[in-house]
Amino acid sequence: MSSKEDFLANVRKILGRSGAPAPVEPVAATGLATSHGDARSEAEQARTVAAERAGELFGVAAQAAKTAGWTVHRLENIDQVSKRVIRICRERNITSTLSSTHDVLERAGVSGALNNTGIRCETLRNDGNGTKDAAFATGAGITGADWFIAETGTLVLHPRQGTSRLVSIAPPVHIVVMEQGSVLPSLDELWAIERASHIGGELGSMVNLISGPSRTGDIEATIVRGIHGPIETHLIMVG
Amino acid sequence: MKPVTKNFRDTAASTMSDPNIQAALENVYNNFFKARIAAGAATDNWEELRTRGKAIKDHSIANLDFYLDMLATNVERNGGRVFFAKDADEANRYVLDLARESNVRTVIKSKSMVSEEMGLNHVLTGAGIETVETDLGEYIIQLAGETPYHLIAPAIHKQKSDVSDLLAAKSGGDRKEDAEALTMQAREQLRAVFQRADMSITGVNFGVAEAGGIALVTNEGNGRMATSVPRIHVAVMGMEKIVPSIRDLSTMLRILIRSATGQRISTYVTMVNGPRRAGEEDGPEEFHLVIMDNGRSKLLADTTLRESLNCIRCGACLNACPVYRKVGGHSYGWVYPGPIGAIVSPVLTGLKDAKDLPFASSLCGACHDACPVKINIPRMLLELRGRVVESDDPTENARGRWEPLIWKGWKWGMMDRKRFDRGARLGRAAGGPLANEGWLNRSVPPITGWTSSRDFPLPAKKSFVNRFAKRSEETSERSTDE
Repeated sequence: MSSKEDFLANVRKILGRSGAPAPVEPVAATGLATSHGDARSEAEQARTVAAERAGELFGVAAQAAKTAGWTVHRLENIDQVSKRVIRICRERNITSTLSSTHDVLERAGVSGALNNTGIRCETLRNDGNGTKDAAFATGAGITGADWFIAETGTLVLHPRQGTSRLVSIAPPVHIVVMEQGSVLPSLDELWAIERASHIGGELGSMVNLISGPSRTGDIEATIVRGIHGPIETHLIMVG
Repeated sequence: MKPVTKNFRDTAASTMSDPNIQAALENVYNNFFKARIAAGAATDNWEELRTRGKAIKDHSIANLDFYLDMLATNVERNGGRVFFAKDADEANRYVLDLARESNVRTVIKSKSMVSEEMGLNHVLTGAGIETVETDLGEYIIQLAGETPYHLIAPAIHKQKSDVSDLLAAKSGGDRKEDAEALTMQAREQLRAVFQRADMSITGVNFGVAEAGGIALVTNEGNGRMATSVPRIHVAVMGMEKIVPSIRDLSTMLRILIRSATGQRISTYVTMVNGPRRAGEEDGPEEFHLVIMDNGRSKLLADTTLRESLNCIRCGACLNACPVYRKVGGHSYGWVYPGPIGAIVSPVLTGLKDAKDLPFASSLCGACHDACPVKINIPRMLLELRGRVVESDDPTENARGRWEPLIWKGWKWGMMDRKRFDRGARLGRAAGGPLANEGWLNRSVPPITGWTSSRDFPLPAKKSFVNRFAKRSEETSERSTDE
């Protein structure tokens, strides 16, 4: 078996380098050319933009989300959220749901409201058992938004305690609740923030970008929704 | 996967006479090709993105040792394991040993061309491990016992009725008709497999050196399932699939996805940075990254062909290629079809057997225009054509025995006026009885191979030189008259 050293030594030889491996000066085109200090201030800038342009970006995001295939619900205030979630579930005869612990869901009282109406809502907690069976059996996954990208209509989720990977992919319906302030203009701002997290040692094991329902075009190039992941994705925008 | 590149002519001929496949190949043009053009046109800084994408890839490949080292070190720092495989055998052995040691019974696969290259399904299935493709297109061709037809649309050549038969056979007789019902049928079949999988194998769209992570791009969500459900995740990548920085994903995702399907973004983009961490709800406990050479170092060493390692496997060159759109994916005889395949396959599997591939192009340049990282494919096809006839390497040179003699004779004839005229008269006399209304449009032995697909006009009764000489005489007579 070849080891890492042999493998890399071979590549090094082919590239005509001799002696000990030397550091490489990144070209301007790659993000690696941006220093850690600059990367941090770029991420800070991105957050500022998201806050300062919150209202405007919310509108752009709504439009892009529709294009990406989200069903967009615009609500005036957070008190209306639970009612809308219940309506979505009832219309689809959904009797059980699985919810992340995003702050916005707790403030909206989604879980309590659902349980009170007889729609079961299980909130994710790390009990070491995993949530696989629940995620595959449930009618809808409910989450907040860690970020949203206006350029592409993309939800960003960082799986962690209280936000599983499966809650956004296994159930046939995914419902997202989002308030103003979490919309970034484009992929550039997102990856700037993720890079700064990495530099700070805070990048998690996964970054999920989700742009509408699961789809395939593998049968005669006909686009069909819901091959593996959610068949419907709802974006409830508050504010 | 065993290369059958030497069957190019036969497979191409049978594909071109199959009306069903020809109709299916229309989708390549009508969907993917047109969608890419529209997506590029709708992106203000499209050319700038391509230029930056090329610069990122050029730099990564020119410093591949440095970035591979960085990637491996950071994957390990994240708690993952890295295996460097010299060839497909080593990569297969690593995955198989891992599966056996971990008592794996079911493997789910998310689309990976490198695993096709390895023939990994065959290895795992042969060892009694259930191995299921989960990309719908890949699933269809796995059920059909075939190989992918296109880099991003593996079952583009299959008709709905084929899919209907295959899925019905799988679930026992229930035959669905429309694409939606068929998709739901496949969904049911595959959800059961996802739930019982112990191990997943995915490809890698981009290895991100600084993060020690990988980025995966899918529309179906099978990549998401594969990185969420099983306890072990194995990602396999060719050693060239690397970018230095997390920030580079902005550029690379934009050009990859627009060039592949014309979307602004695919439904799912998943960045995986090692196994799940403490406190996480779910996700694999183990993350393994297999980095494979398998002939790529030959491309790296070959400075005229090195650029082909910039390829991000979007399939845009296939969709743009007038030859691919007629001869289809299987004619190319290995994992990578189309214009880029015509460069990569000969070098990775041997030019001698693949000698027809570099000639399967009109050199129109559509692939060069389409390539998101501006790979000059026609230039490299020409280079390989040269090697087929001129290389001193016996594994490359596939020149026919008679060809040099014929060209020598041609040169001899062209060098002398009288010999040329005599040759033309001889050609007319010999071709006359075979001609059809002044055209030689049938195969003429012993040069059948050359004449079967080409129509030639018979040499004119009076050659240009004759007529010109006569005309000059007449003109000079006229001018003396004046």
